[in-house]
Amino acid sequence: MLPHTLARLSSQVGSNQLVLHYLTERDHPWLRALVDEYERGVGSRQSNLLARLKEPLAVSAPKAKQRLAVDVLQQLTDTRAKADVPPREARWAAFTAAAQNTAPRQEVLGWAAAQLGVDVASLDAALFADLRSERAASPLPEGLSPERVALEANLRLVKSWMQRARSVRITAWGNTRALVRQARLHGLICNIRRIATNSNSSISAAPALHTGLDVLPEQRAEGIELEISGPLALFRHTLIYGRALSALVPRALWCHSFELRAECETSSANAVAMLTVRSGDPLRVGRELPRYDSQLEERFAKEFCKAARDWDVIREPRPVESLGSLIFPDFELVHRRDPNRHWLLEIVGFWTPKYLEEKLRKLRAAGLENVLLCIDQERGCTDAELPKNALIVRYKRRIDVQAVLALIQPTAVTAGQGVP
Amino acid sequence: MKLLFDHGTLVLAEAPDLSRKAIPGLLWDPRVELYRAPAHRYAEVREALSSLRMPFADEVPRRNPDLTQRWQTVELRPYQQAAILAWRLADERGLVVLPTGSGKTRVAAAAMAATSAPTLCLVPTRALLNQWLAELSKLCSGPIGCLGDGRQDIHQITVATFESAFRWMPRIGNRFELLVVDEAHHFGCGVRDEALEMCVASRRLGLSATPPNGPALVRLEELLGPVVYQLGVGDLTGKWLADFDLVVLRVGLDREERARYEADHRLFAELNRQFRSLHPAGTWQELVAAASQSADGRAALRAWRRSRQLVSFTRAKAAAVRALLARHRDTKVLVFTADNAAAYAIAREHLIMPITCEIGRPERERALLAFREGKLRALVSARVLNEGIDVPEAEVAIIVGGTQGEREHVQRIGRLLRPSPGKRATVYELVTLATSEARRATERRRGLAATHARSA
Repeated sequence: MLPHTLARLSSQVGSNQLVLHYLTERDHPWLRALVDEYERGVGSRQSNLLARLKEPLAVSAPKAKQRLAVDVLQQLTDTRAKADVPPREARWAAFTAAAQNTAPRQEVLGWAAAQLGVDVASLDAALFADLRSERAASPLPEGLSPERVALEANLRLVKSWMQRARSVRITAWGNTRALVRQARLHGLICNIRRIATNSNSSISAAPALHTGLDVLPEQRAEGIELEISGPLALFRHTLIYGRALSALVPRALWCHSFELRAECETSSANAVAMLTVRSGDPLRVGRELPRYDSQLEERFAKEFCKAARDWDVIREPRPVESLGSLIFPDFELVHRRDPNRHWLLEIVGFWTPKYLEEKLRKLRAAGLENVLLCIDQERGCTDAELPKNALIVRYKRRIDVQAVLALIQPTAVTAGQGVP
Repeated sequence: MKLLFDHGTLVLAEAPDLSRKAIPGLLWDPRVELYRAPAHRYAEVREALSSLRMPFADEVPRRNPDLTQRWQTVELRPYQQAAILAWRLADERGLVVLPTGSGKTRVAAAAMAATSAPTLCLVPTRALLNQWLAELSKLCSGPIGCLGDGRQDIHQITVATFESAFRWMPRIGNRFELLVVDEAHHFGCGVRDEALEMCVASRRLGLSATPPNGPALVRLEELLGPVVYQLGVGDLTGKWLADFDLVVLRVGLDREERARYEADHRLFAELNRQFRSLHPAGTWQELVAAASQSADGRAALRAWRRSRQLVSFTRAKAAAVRALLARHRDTKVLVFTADNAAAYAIAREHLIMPITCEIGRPERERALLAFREGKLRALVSARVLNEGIDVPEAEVAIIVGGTQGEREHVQRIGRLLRPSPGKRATVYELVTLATSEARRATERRRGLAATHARSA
């Protein structure tokens, strides 16, 4: 994580807005010079090299940005120690030998080196070769471009500020499911609103639908607005959720478009400013997020597609609005030739009878009867505990596709599609 | 109406309109349309609801798995008994201040045994986590839970590192009735405090050798209770702690060092003078904030840091360390420095083991064991040995430099005071003459004075 003092240096507060000085294409020339300078110093003591990189470069560079980039380079290097003898072994041999002898240093090192089968110089070099402040600088990743350094630095800058966020508002379109799931995972409270179209100017002021118990999926024509904060935020300006809020940024970057506004503490005197991050900002987008929440879901989707060629599996179905809340089943199963035949499928891991009943009640209130619940039988439920008239498939580590098919098309299963 | 625990807060579900009722800490949360209160006000909320004759189902406490804990009789020294008595008289809330090596863990164990309550013990480091687990296992039958160091099991008695507690408290804050906080001075001035707010335990015991002052103490009193018992090093040396001699060695700067020091010091002194003329009562933080606004100010702060670094490990100090290590060739020696760079310089020159934050735990434990067994003769450290590690017995300490003032000094000297028959420890404190370090050294020695016991 970027030290906050560095984040502060690369930012400016004006009219309660936090302006981040992103590294852009204009910075690429000096970033190239910085990378070259680093590469020239590979092998020298890292602390010395880092001190040198903070000095003026051949190409003029803004000082704060330069320090930010140096920190990123430091994070990108391979931190494994390179020494002829593992440093821990070197230390043990040298220091225990020194405790037992009053001989001069070189002589003691000579004994220890002989014991390890290396020469004195190698032993001496290995003594602290693994310690951050003492070790030799390692090479940078091959082909590291100024652009990558810039994007990485910008992302770290945003995340560092997000660590000081009190609350966050995100407006997003597409791929929003992971965003909400992430917030929920950290016990944050999400207030979710629908937004009519993918345009900031036409954000509708629809009433709040829900307070964060279910998961919202992506919708093509509709966006969502999330207001996210932690439970304790009601009582105090707290930074305790900073880490959780900061973890939302990589998720937001995978939405089709988004705008994130975070209220960040700028000083110890409780001053705040608004940080705004939008899609299109020069931030590094990380690896693609997994499409499924679990291996169980992934396996079911694959096996179902293979076994039931007449059916489509929709991973993120449209949300179901019911009794003032939104419910998002895990899958929707739609018959290809007859789209009127469609089922919602919900995989239930941890549950209580009350939870299940409430869920079914809401789905039925929305006029949905074709709902299938897959329940983990290792939870040790009895039939008496399950809601009446519910269609249920019990599973243990794997959902039986044939059992699902038997329920959704009891009379039309062909040999090719599997037998109930 | 139901009282529930929700991620480190209390929530009143199915509640009538309570806007005109005086319930401590309770606020309407429009985000979820429920009443909410901080978890640490659990006892007050319960009491208020009861006194208002409002029936409610209390679904806050959550039981830990099993298991009856059986405590052995915890034998206590007289001052430890007095500390426990003072804590109990203060409604089982408060801070007990005892010097390093005086048996604070035992005081906590006695409190746990006396209350028989499900207890969460918070400790700052993984080393202390293991030390507490070992100590409690000796005194209490049944499993001891552990959160931290890769373990995540919860029992009636559970020990957790501060970091783990910070992450876990929203989930486990309703499982314990007694909260014990070791090295409690780490709380009172930061975001970590909120971990204590997320716990419903009304019985709270803080332990420290060096309680904070000012606003941090006020905050700590709010979270854990007031100081209910306090003794200093001077109160216990001789009988319960080993006696020690403090030898202050005053060393100078050579000509080149003096020139560098004076140049840097002058730069900072001018900044300080200007700031004091405008803000005579300004704090250090305010000075730093003001100085950071200008290039000259930032240069002066850099000069100040350079001068501090210079005096913390001068050539004369290096020579003194050389002489002292030679003099105590056959004695176990701990060397304390101001920073890791000085620790490594000493380690490299004298081939003694450095114990720093960069040395991994297994290696650190191996080194401490070797030191205990006499296979290593000396250890050098900047901060890691100050607290949070069960340092093996040593007879000599060399304090080359420090950055944390009185608290650090007391903790470091406490490392030598574990008593043994006929033991008299020696502490060498190296101070650079005619520098700002001389004044700081005088100030940091104050913490060693005897303190009169206070009880609630």
